[in-house]
Amino acid sequence: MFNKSGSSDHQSAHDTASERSRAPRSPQGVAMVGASIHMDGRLSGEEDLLVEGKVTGTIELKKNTVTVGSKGHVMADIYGKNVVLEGKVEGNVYGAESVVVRRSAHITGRLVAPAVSLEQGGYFSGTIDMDSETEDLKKSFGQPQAAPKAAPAPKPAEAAETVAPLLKQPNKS
Amino acid sequence: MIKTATPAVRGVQTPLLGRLFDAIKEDQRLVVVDFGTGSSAILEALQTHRVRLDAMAMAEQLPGWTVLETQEERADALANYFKGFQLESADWVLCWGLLNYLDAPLMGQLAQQLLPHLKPQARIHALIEYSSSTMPATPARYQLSFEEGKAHLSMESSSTTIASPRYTPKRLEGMLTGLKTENTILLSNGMQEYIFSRA
Repeated sequence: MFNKSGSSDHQSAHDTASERSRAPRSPQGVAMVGASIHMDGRLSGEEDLLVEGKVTGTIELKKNTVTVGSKGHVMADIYGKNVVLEGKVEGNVYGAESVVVRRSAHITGRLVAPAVSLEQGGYFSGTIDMDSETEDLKKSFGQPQAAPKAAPAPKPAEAAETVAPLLKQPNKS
Repeated sequence: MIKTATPAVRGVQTPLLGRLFDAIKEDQRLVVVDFGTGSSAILEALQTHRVRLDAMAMAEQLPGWTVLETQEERADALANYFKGFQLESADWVLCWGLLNYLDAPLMGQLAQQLLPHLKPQARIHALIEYSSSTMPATPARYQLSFEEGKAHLSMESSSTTIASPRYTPKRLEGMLTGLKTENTILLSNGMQEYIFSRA
């Protein structure tokens, strides 16, 4: 289990800072679960996180940004202030402010946030709940979250996926 | 008979869909079931509202359903697919092009599955091929946009065509048990735009 909540009474601010300085980091300085790492359990903390490895369980970083990178595979519910999805997620995703889905993402589960954006030209199947007053968000984050302005314009679209061909002709009326 | 044609992107103004958007109330929680594949465009169009959107991508399931041998098997497959979404009662159902590809029994089963998930005032917005004797061999994907405030749907369709069933309003009502045509318009591209509601 990887618990970075840092909320225990006996842990000093110095210890926390020291621990943070030792945590694996992305080139951008964000805490990172690397591509070769497989974590199982409840992952929590108070800093932004990039997942490029495999995480099973729950990710709770309710005041921070969680990014599932293009190599990341998360089999867990994700709770974040802002969540960016580029890789594979099997679980529900709750964003206190926003969820951004890139074209490379493969999601199986619900996306719940006051604002959900899908990269321009992208397609999806599944459930998206963009209601700041929904019970799911109240339970996850407390009071209703203020809906932020629309997310910044996503990157240009790539070629659209194809729809599976039909095997049977429609009936004539 | 399948004919090869050049890939087409067709677009058309959809006044009845525009009226649905115009009627959204300020603080309404809108529950939308999209039988098609959800797109960034529909999300953007709904983003200023409190919305639940279930994109069911039914076209991608059709090949599996249509090869099932008995009506009971097809009904079960459809029912199980609906169960997987745990739908809330819907205000809108978006059904763009799909009905062209369903035969009478499957259309009846679809209506039967849908009815329990409709609010009393729910509206089903549908587009059907009507004037043309052919249609894309597979269901098109639709992109919603607003041009000068008017709703506009663009269709990305496959490069082959098949005969269109050209369902009439009366025929559709006969197959969609429990639903009635509330309004219908022939669009400039030859498709028929419908609003269905509970009968």
